[in-house]
Amino acid sequence: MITQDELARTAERLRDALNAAADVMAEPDAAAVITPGPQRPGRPGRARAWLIPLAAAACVVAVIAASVLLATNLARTPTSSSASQPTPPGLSICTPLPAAGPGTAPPRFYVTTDVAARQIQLQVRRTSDCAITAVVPLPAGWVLTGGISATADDRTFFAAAFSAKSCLTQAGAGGISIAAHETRFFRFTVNGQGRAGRLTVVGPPVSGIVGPIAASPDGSRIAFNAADGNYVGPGGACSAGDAEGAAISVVDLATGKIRTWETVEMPPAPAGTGVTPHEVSWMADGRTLAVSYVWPTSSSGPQLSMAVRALDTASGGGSLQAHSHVLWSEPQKCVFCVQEALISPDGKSLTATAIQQTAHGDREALLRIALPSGRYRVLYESPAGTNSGLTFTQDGSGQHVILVSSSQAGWIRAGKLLLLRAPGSALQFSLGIATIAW
Amino acid sequence: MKPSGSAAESLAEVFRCRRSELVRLGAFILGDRAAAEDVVQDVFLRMHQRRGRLADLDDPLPYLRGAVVNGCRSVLRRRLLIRRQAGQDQPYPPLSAEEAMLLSEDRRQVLAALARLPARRREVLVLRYYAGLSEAEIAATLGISTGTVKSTAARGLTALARALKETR
Repeated sequence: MITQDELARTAERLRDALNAAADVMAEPDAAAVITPGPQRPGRPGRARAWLIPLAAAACVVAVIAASVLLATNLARTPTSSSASQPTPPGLSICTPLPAAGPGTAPPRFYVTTDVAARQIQLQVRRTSDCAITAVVPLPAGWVLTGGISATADDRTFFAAAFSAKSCLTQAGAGGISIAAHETRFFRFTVNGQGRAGRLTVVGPPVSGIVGPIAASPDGSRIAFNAADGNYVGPGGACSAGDAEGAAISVVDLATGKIRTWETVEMPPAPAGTGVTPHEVSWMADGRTLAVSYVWPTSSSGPQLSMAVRALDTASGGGSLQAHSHVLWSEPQKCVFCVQEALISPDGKSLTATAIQQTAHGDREALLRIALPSGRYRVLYESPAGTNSGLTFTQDGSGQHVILVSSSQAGWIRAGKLLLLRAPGSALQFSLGIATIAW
Repeated sequence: MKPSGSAAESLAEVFRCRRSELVRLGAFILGDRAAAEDVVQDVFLRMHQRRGRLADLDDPLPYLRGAVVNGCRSVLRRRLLIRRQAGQDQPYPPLSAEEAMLLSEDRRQVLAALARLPARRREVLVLRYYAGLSEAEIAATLGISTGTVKSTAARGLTALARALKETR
């Protein structure tokens, strides 16, 4: 029998032991620090992780894109499995795909990432059993920045990656930073057996880091958010990102020509409010690009609103506002508040991840939003309080979706997420970046 | 709605100020500091990357605590699975051998007894006696009722007292 006095003494001993242990516990490794990275004036923060690989105490302004973090996480995660690790009984190696509608079939392959010896690998996996059919390593020292994107036929895949190097901080700031040197686009093809061709660099280099990329349906062009963050400028100095506001670029891989559409403000964002572009996605015509963007709802508040516009990329560049029109705009009071949105190939709907705030914590959902009505259908809803940072990728038909969270990925069937249980990889994913594509 | 740039900057500030505290919280729950560091890092990255609609960015600490506890639960679940399947994954203790030597035998016994408690009880006790949260705050952090917090804390403390009594 434990008396009240003993309980009180135990509580005191516990408090004392925990505090003493905390006191003697060494400071956690200060090497990895998250910082939002430099923001362009008037631009809210893009969703991107930044990892500073130098001592936090030195307050170094280093910028490395999220995929570095992905690499670190994958390398450090205690749950990383190896190919030899046994699959838990009762779990299929690869959960069967949801039944497709008439005339539709899921892509035969998808590509995701893994890390070996801190080198990022693109892994081709067969949809039917998740088996790895090819491994395409990025060149050493190159890290993903804009994720992976596939053409409509699921045979050509693109990745945007950057190399980092030291640069001199501005006068007075002192010290050396690490910044993106340049971003390059990489391409490889997959044959009918899932074997991959050679990884080749395509298109011209882009200074700094680019946002999420989207390959056009035929693979002739790549759309991306214009460069952001620090990059190595003239004379080896660290330079900040370029223009204020939204800048969307499309590179023609045949000619190497880059066209850019820019704007500082853009309706339905109020006048005087800078906007920030998010995801880009193509319609099947290969001409219309859906651009999602956000803006702060108040000058000091943490909340942002989102809209999606259709950009006519045949317009040749110039004003983003002038060459686009609003497809969808988030209502002021949203039940499911959209986080990222991609257009369907026919332009009739958006697929979007969203968050619903509930009394029991955030609930994440995947929505299908009809255009132009804005009516939505919930395709999948996570349990409340999950907070797994849901993201997704869709195939060329827009009908097949792979959902990705911080720790798992899977297909959706009847509103339920069926987990991918693939051998040879922990299938851990970095949020905010499409590290899976088909 | 997503956090704006200023919100992200304040998040970075919170990270710098609170990371150690959160890592220790996770380490006590997990009994594994390296895993706790991963959990905390993941939590901050998730908050920063997902531009989620944080209800209370002016004071994100309660949310962060909850996220860290949730992350610790995920680690514990995975660890249990791995143990069942392969008998693998021996966690690192929250303190190194050198650090543990700085503690008295009594304190080491208390920590060892705490580590043997079921996860839920350990979470409640660590939040109560390390993080110093009230019952209401613990309830909010863990998503359970204050009544459950009260009963879990009482059972956990009783189990701890019993375990310590047996080690005398």
